[in-house]
Amino acid sequence: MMHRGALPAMGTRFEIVAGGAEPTLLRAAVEEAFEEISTCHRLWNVFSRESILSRIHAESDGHPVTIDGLTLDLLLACSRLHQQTGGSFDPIIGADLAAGDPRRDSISGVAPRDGFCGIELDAEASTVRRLDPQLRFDLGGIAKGYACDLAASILLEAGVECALIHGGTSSIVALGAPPGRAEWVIEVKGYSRKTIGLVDGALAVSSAAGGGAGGHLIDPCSGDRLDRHRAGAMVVGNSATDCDAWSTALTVAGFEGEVARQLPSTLQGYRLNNGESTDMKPQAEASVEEERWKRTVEIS
Amino acid sequence: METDRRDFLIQGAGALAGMALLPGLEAMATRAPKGYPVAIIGMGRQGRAIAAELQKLGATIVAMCDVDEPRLRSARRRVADATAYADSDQLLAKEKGVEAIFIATPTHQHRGIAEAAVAAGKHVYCEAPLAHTLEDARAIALAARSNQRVFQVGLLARSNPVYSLARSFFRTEAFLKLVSMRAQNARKTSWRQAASTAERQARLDWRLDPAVSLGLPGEWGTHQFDVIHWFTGQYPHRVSGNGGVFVWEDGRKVADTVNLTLEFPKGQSLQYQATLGNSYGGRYEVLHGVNSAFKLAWSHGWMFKEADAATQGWEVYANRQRFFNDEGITLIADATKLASQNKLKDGVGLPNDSLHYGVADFLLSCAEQMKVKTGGSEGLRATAVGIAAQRAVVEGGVIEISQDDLKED
Repeated sequence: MMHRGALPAMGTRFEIVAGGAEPTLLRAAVEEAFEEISTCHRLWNVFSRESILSRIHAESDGHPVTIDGLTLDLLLACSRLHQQTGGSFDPIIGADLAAGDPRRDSISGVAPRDGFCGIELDAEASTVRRLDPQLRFDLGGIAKGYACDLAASILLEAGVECALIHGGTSSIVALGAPPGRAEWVIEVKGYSRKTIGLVDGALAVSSAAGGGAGGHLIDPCSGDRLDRHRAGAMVVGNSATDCDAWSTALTVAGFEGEVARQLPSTLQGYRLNNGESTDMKPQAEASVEEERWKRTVEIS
Repeated sequence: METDRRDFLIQGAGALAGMALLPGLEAMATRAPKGYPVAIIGMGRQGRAIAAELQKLGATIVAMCDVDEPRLRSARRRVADATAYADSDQLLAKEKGVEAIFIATPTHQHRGIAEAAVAAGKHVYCEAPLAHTLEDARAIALAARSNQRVFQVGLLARSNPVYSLARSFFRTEAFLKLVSMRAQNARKTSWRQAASTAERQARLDWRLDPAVSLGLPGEWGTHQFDVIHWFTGQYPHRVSGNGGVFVWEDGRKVADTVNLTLEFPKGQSLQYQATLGNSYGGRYEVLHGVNSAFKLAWSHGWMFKEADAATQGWEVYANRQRFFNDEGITLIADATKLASQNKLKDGVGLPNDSLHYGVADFLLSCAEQMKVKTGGSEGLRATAVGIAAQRAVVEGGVIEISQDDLKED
C-alpha cells in the first residue's frame, strides 16, 4: 500500500508518495520529511520577516550575519554550482530586480552588479556577508531541489526505500522503484520521448515560461529576462539540488557552448523545446520500459 | 517643537503607551549576548528548533547530546561545529566552558538531566511540561531554587511580545472583566516518529506511551493553560474532561482528541480542545471580557471590541482585520515605533517564532541578570495542571487540584 501526503511550501505544492513499508512507519516518515521541508520554507522564504534571508537583507551595514547549518550547507552548494556553471546559475539578484519581483512583475535589463561573487561566505564562522547591500538572495533555482534531497534523506534514515518526492513537479527525487515495477515513470511535457524512468535518482526541469508578460528567468550575466519561448532544460542525476541548479543554468546558457560542456558526467541534460529534445549524453540515458506503473508525475 | 495631531495621538494614547513599555523586537535580538557558550541535550524536533534560534541569536553551541545516533547525525547537518555526545553526564563532565544547558529531551527524562545540570553549576532552560509526575516536577523546581544560576522553563507565552501586549490591555478598561475562556490546538499529525527498528520506534514514540506520556493535555495544553495562569493570576482548582482515539486507530492508547473544562477559583472556566485529527483553526486562546475579546494565536493577536466599549484615540490608526462578521484590531508589538514611521502594517505578526523570544530572554537572564520570566515555580504549577488534565481524560472524571499540588514543598 502506498502512502501519499502533500504540503504547501515555497509557493508550490510538495508531494510524497511512499511505499514498501508498514503504513504507520510510512505516515510518520512522510510527516517528518515534510517537517524538514517546512523548515527549509521558513528559512528561505524571502517574503517572510522570520526567514534567514530577510535577516541577511536587513543587515545594511555590511556586517556578517550568522547563519544556521542548513543555510550554510545550501549556500556552499550554491557557491560550488555557481562556479561549475560559469555563473549561469546565480542565486543573487539586484535590489532593483527584487523590488519588482519577477514572480509578480515583469521588468527587464537590471543586472546584479556582482552576483554571487558579491557574497562572502565564511564556512568556519558560519556567516554570510553581502559586499553590496543592494544584493538580494533568491533561492528559487535551487531550494526546492535541496528540500527534496533533504526529505529523501529523512525517509532513508527512517528505513523507507521506496518513495517519490516532488516539489511543484519541477524537482523530483526517486527512492527505489514502486512495488512490482522497475522504475518510477515521469512524464515530461516538451520531452520527445514523453517519459523518463527514475530509480534512486533525481530530476529537475527549468523553463523560461511563466512570470507574467516576460519569462521568469533572468540571465545573471546580462540581467535580461529570458524569452519565455526559449528552450527549457531537464537534468537527471543523483542530487535534486544539482539537477535544479543545472537545469536553470542550461536554460539560461543554452546547450551549445562552454557552460553545457562543463556539465558533470554524473548528470544528464536534455533540451525541452516544443516537444523536441536533444540528449546531451545519449549513452547514459536511462532505458524506458514499455510496461509502466501508472504513478507518473507530469511536468509542464 | 511642533507636534501634529497624529503624533499627539500616538504619544498620548494610554494603550499605545502600554505598547511602548514593551522591549523593542529588534533590540531584544541585538541585545542577546553574542558567542554565549551553550549546549543542547535532546536533538529531536524541539532541540533542533532551539539550535536554529540560538544560531539566529549568535550564541555558540559548543556541544549537543542525544542518545539516538540518527538524530545526532541530523543535528550535525545543522550545527557542524558542536561536539556530539550520546551521554548527558559526559557532556556535563567534559564541557566545563559551557555556561547554559538547554534540555529538550522527552518529558519523563527531564528530572535527572535538570538536577545534574543544576548540580554542575549551569544555567538551565528546561522544556515544558517540567516532568511527567508531580514528584519529578517538584524535584526539578526545588533543584532550580537551590543555586544562584538561572532556571527558565519553556512556557513561551510569557516571553511572547504579542502576549505581553495583550496582557497589558487585559488589566485595563479596554478588556475590563473576564467573562470566559476558550482555547484549542488542532493539528493533523500522527504524533509518531519515524524509525527503522522497533526498539528505536518505541523509544522515539514516548508521547504515545501511556506510562510516561502526559498526552495532549500535558504536552500541548500545559503551554496554553499557562497563558490563562499568567493573564488571570489564577490556577484552576478543578478539571474535567474526556477524550479518545478517534482518528489514529493504530493500536495507540493515548487519546488523539481531548475536551477539557478547567474551572478557576473565581468561577470562570476555560474550555479546551485538542486534536491530532484535524488542523482547522490551529492553536489559539480566546479570552472574553466585558469590553473586548482577545484572540491570541502565538504569532498573531487581535482585540475584538464590543460596540459599547469606549473608543481610544489610537484606534484611528490601528490596523484591522476582518473575520466574517467581526473586525479585529491587530495587536502589534513595537506599535509606537512602527506607527511613528507609518509602518504599522509591517508589524502584523511576529517576525519570529515564540521560541526565539524565550531563548533570547533566557540568554539575557544568563548574561545580563535580566529577571527570569518563567522560573521553576511557574513551571511546576503549569505542569501540575497539565498532569491533572491528563488524569481527567484518562480517568474520565473530575480531578481536584489542591493548592498543595502547586507548591514546591
